[in-house]
Amino acid sequence: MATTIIVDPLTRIEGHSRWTVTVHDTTGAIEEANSQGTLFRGFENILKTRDPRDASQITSRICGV
Amino acid sequence: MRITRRDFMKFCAMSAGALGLTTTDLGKLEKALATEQTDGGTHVVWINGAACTGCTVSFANSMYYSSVQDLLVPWAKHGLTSTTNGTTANGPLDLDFIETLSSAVGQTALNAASANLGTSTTPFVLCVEGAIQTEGSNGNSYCTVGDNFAGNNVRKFKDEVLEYANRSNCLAVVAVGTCASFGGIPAAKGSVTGARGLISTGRITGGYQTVNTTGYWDYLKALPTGKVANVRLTDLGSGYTANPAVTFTLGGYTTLAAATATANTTTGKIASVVMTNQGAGYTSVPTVSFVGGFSSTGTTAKGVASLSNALSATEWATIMGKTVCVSGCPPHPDWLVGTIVYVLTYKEAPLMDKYHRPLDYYQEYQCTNCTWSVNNPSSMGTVHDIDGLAKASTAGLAVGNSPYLFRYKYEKNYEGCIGILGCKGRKTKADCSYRRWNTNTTGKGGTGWCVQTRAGCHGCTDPRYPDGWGKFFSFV
Repeated sequence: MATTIIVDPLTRIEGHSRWTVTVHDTTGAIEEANSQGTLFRGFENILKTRDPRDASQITSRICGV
Repeated sequence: MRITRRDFMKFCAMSAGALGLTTTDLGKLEKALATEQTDGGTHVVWINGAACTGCTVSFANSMYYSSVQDLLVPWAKHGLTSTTNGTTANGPLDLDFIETLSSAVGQTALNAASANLGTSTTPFVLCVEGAIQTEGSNGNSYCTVGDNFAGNNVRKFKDEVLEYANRSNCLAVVAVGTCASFGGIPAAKGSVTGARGLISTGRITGGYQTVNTTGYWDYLKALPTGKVANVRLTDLGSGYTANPAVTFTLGGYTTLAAATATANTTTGKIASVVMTNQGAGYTSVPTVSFVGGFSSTGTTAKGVASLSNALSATEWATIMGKTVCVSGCPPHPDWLVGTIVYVLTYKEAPLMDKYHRPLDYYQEYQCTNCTWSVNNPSSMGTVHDIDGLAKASTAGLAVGNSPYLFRYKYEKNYEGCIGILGCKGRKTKADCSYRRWNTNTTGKGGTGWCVQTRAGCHGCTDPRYPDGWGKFFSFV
């Protein structure tokens, strides 16, 4: 009836991501489409109570590309 | 060949000097880089965890030993010539999987990596980038990669690391970057994800907070799986004429364990006990009893069960021996390329310090070749250059560690030591000061490094990074 295509992991990006699409077999209509970020590090939590001058050094490690 | 012969011999000479190679070993090193790989090269699987991908980008900027395309692309196989140095040989690395650079997506990309699993005996090198996050309630995880092929169940990164590393065909586990080595920024104070590197930092005090991150291998060695590993016989019994039954009681299990015992009817003693079902959910060690099988004049055998941990002692020892930490935030591409080539040549990890960092690159403090120590009469060390440029030496006076002396150095000479601004260089081991960063020519040293800009070293190769140092811009 419906086919689910899962793309996990998504490559050529920074971090991890998972994409799923459910397509109806005969009509080709997209029933459901989801994207999911599959990595959480919690930089907001790490930054709390730190010296503000350190903020730029730490947040720059969110993405190294 | 990926680099000119002259530069290659320079690299070999430098490595030989550091590693103490004999001329016969030099030949082996030469062979590794120069041999045309007909099978495409040694397999490398590069997996990312809680990473920022900076380590991959740094690796992609490799130039001094070899450009990254000359490491990876099988030029000869496709009848092409390298654009960087005109070589036509195949690259010595076959990068099966790397999330950031792979053109394939999803399961297709992962299949190339999982070809190294299962029954494969082809050797491969595992590169781990990013911290391993072990927290997560209700069996969930903060980092997942790929389906586990059973419906909509995702595969946790921490399981993936163990799956690839705990294999005999895995030659070495290279922890790329400080995050994979010691935890790094994702493991800093405030993080809730239980991020850790592969190697423990040990207890380090005196910084922003006390650092004591348990490495992933040490964590697994102490992690109970709730299964019974084996039964150790403490009393072989006597007078056995038949195999006794083995019963397990207590231990708080969800699935009962089971084992079979074999008796030696000639000697009348128990010969062995083999687990047939390790059980599940054990929270404490169960009691083992042997029932029946011995004559009226015989004595029963006795045994003690032990619970298994995620890594057994022998597995832990093997994995620790082959884990190399190329730390840095990001690490210099030379450190990574040099280490991988060493592993290709010798099929084992190089000489490492107590934090598993290869001694070739992490032996000297940053003051070794610092420009500002040259300009300051109260400096330390002599100055030399990786390109063999002119040496300069300073009339070094004894140096102390007080902030007052550092402020004196900084103010006395406008171009003096910047320790007072927060440079962690005198306590950080890395060869940035003479290798330098961002070379734009193969075989030439780098154009600059952090301290050259008078910004100060942040000590990113150290297990202390970042919280063991204190604030980024304060004196240490």
